[in-house]
Amino acid sequence: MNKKGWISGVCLGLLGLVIGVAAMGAISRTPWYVPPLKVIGDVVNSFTLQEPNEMGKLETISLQGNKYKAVKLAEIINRAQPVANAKQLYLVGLDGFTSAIKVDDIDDCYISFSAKNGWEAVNLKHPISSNAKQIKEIVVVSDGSTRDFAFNVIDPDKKLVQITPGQLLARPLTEFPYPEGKAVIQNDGKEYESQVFTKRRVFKLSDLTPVNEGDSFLVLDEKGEYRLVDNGGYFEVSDNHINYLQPDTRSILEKVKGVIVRPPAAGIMDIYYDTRHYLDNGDRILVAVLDGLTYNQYSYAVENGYAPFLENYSMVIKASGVYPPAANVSLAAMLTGKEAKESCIITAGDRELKVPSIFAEAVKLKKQSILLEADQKLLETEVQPVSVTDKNGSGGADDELYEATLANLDKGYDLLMVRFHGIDDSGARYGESAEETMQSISAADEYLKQIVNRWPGKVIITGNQAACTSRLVGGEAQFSNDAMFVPYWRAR
Amino acid sequence: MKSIKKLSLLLVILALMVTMAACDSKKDVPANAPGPFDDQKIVVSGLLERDFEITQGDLKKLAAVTKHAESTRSNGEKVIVDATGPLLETFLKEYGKTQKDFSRIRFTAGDKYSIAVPQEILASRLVILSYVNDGRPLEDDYQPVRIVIPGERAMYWVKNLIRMDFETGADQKPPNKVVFLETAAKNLPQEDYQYYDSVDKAIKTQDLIAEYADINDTVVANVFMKAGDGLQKNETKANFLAAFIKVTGQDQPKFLAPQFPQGMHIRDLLYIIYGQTAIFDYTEGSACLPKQTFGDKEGIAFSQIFKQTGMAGGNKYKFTSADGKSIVLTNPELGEGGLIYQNAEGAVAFTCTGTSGKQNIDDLLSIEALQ
Repeated sequence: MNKKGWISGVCLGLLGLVIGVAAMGAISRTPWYVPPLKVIGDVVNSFTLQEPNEMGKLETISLQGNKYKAVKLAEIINRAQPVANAKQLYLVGLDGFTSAIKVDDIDDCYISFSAKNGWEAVNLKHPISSNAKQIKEIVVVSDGSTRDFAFNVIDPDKKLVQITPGQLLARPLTEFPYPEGKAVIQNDGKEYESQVFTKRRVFKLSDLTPVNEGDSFLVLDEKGEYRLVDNGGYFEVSDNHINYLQPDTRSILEKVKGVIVRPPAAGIMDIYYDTRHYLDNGDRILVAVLDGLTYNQYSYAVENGYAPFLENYSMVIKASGVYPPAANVSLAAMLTGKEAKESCIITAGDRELKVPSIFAEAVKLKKQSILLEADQKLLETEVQPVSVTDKNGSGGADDELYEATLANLDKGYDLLMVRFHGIDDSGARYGESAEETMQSISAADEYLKQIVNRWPGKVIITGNQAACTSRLVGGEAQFSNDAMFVPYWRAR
Repeated sequence: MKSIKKLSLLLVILALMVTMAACDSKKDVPANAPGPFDDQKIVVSGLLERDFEITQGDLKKLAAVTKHAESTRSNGEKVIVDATGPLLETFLKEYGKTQKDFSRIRFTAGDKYSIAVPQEILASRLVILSYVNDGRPLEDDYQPVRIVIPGERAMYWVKNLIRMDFETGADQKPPNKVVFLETAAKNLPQEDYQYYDSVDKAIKTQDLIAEYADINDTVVANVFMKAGDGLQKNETKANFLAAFIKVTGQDQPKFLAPQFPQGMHIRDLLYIIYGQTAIFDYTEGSACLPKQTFGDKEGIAFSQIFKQTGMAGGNKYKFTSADGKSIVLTNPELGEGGLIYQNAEGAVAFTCTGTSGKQNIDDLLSIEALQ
């Protein structure tokens, strides 16, 4: 073979290689359209199955003389990580045909895929009617006993609704065409329009619990963002969580944790606004924060005679807390007046405030301020807290904080803030209503009596949602009447 | 034979080098590094009196941000991108505008695909004029700019941007009337409002809007408010109409309601935009806006009202006082524009000197732009 022949041979070889690789790539792709199969509801990891062999090697099973390549339903469900107490599975077909089976009975259940039937349930021991074809969704429904995963509706006095996304998906929901926008394209001098909607499965709060006309709702999401709304908006069940939609304003709150119906006007963020008002006004202001003291706990203490000073001091106000109910998150809300999204204190590990606190406001107004606390530094603020330690080994530093506060009352501070921890420490160790915790409330009550009687200026006293400090924030933080309200006093 | 082998080897190495070079060409680069698409033009319409062009190079001179955005396509596929480029707000700031000034903004691609971003999105979302995605320059068919709006579906993420139309369309017109809060409040029922240790006076927003704006304007979904310290906030129509404006005492004028968390209150309110009506507080304006003198009087320039509220200019203006009397002045009659000030009786007043001499209006209630 001559030189030219060799070159042509090499070139042809390379070309063949390229064509071969391209052809292999094309062949290796699935030759048919595989519709997505979504696993939603009460699962931590909602996911979409796109390929039959995505879950690993397929098993060959037989049912009524037919052979199937299939994956175990249990494997699919395990991958989605159902929340505790998953009870029921809904296998929802494209035409709405739905079969419900118990989670405890799925050992012999499989999901197969074929060009003819799409995703298909092959349940070896269930009635044949359970073998739904063209399945588009598997909805996992728990028994709803896990409050942490649930959508919670409360009012200032009681729990109204606790329901999970899976339970909601098992109920009748409205399909709402949410307008996404209108696209236009010009072709041959003519404009062709396309109005786009997405169908959302929604409900109104009034579908779950009776509400009165004119009621307002405080909607709080997983990251601490909140919105005061009326019954005009919709709650959307999306995969494994709830969103709040306001179509008129295209306002969306994602991963809503709960709703407070008819929320109290006061909230712990008021500390920032009240303090700023008093400082603006030229008043001196003492702010006492009682970590761990919730409204219900305070009520119990009063009923049982553990807080005589606070009971008679001034009118107590029930104030909304923030979500997640953690010490640093709520402290940030108090100091900045801003929701967690703005202060960027969202998880227990966050320390750095992204917005100015009341201490910066005091500096701007040329006011002297001091922060007394014993806990490890929860937040980076514009003032360096005066750290008070348990010098006498009493097991807590509240007595030392009390002494330090008394020592600073006459030093000319315009803003004096002190944070007591005893109630939170006792509550975490012994329980919220335990005698030891009540004794901590009693001690704080006596400290406050002595401090307030010697303070010439304005006073704000508040509980702080700190009971969840030692727990994970987010998934495990609770949205409940016990956790979401604190007592608040604004006096003199 | 040897030379053929060498040639084959050379060909393979060359092919590998070309492939590697091609792969390498999109590696991470500084966001605003010069590139081959720097001169590619984008037409901007509706921002100035005439259309003009900008380039990717112009956008690279603006402060850039990087934002993560995710969107789901109709087939369930997720589109995920870290988009780098200037915010539309940053671009608009160069022209003294903000997203909120427009009822919609239409983005058009090279293939003539276009989408109008409505006011609700403009009011609540960041719009990124991205020229770098995931740390790399855009693919050629995405150049020179890809619009990315985190939180919105990918249908809004227009690639290969060739045109931006800024529209103040029929559904959202700029204000054509400004009402002075101090004068208006005197004509409305005032209620006692317990505010800390004092009892101040407050008017209902519902009364204010019913009397001086179009409360039945169905286009209004959000009400825009700005405070003297620069704080800007949109409130839903329902919440706004359920509130009060405290018009005496500390922090006045203050938007508030007993049922609202204090975070929703706005103190030192400068103005409110409700549909085509702006409610303006002169006292707050005189405290935070540049002062203007006119003879022996000091106040704020008439032009500041336009600048602050985005009020549409007219050929003539109707000035109405609290007693219902009004005069209409043309632009020449306004002279250099005039002054809004507080007269000896403490009421809001207007004065100007133009072609028809000096004009004074005391107890000024409103100014309306007429065509």
